[in-house]
Amino acid sequence: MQIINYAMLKMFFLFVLISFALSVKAQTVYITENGEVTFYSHAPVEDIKATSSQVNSIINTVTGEVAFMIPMRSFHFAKALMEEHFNEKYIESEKYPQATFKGTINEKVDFSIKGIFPLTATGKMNIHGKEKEIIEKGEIELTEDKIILNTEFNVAIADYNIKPPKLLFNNIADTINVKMKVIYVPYKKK
Amino acid sequence: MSKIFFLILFVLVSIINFENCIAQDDLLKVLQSETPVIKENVIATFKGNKIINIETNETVRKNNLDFRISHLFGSIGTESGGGIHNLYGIDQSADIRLGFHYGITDKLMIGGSHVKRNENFEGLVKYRLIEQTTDGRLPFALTLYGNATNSIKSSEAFKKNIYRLTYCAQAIFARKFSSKFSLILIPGIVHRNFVQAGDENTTYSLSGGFRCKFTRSASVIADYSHTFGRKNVGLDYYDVSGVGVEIETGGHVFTIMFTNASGLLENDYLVNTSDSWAKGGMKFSFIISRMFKFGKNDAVGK
Repeated sequence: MQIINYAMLKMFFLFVLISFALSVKAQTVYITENGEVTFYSHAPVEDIKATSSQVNSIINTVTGEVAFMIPMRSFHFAKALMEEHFNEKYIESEKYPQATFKGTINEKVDFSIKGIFPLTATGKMNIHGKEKEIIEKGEIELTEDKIILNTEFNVAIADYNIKPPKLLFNNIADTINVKMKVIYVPYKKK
Repeated sequence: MSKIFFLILFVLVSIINFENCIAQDDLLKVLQSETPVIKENVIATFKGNKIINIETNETVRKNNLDFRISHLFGSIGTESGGGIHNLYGIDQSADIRLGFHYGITDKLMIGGSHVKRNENFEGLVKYRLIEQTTDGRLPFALTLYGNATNSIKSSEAFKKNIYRLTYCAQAIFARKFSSKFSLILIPGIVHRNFVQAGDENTTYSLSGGFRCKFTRSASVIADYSHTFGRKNVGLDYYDVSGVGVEIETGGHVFTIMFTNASGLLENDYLVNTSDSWAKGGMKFSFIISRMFKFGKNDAVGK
């Protein structure tokens, strides 16, 4: 009886140690360290550019799941008036404070190999309270301890129920070009 | 005995691994909980520097210059000098103001203007002391406003230049209740260096106004001002009120407004309004505003 108990105890600690080791080594979730997004609107009347450095994103390297969240008020424009119109009239940031994307990386990426890989992601984009299924291209760079994501895509404002003004000139392009760069670091639960 | 051990083992290993198994959780929810709530200042409580007559808490932002042309037509009613013969006041101009407002910082604005009535020149300063925040921690905005005007119109009674100086100071309390409704309340003081016999040099005022959006682009605006502590000075002076409709297009705001104010400056209309709505003393008024941006586009990428 005594002997079995010792054996059991040994096995028990071994399992505990292995599970600890596994949980430390297998970092599966990465979160934004730094994220920046810029959008451009090219229209005959004026070109509009806005940047936000508050891109929040999380990525699961095992399941390939990825999520983004950007507060709309974090976009800054050259002209204060533009920023006001963006928040007040187009995006209605009080009603819809953030844009989100939730999806999955289509390719099977081995996150343990360093290098640059092209990939695509499918998921639901939510802007201005309107959800749309999208597939977008991107590029992922894997380094020692970081993941760097670069992506560029177009957003048709009509898809998200964003209405340009009916009166006078239309100074907003129908399609907005979006460029995004996100640097991820291993996620530590607070 | 060994079964119990394995059970404990299983539970422990599960607990240890659970910490890292957020894969089962909704990633977006994790993201939301990881993102600190950012305190933002409420923007666009009102459109521009004035509702109709009264000031708003808004200032022109840093490096922006707002060139404003304000026009107050003549009285509409025949009894107050209007009527069909001057197209209900359209042929007259009770007052015209050419103003430049410049944002030194996002909170501090200075300005200068010339107004037609009494050939006044005005210098003004406006400072956002408190800004309302989106998280509700600061439920209202407080902007301080002050100006000084100097009339170059000399007369027998107002011979010396110092007699023709007036000052106005106001504390502007504003709250944006929702994207559709904003309210404002302004206690203020007007001081005139020289007044007619029997009148008061210093007059206190209380003004209130609101903006109520009824479609995505159109709002109803109204304001009212009352002055205190003036004795009967022989002339009938009235409280000033205004009502209007504000229509926003892409980059411009058109406002159609009516008011019984006799002039455009606080220092003037608060104490000198002799027109009343009852006698047809209301006037049509409009503002043209053009915003210029100076300096680098430093807002981008900030």
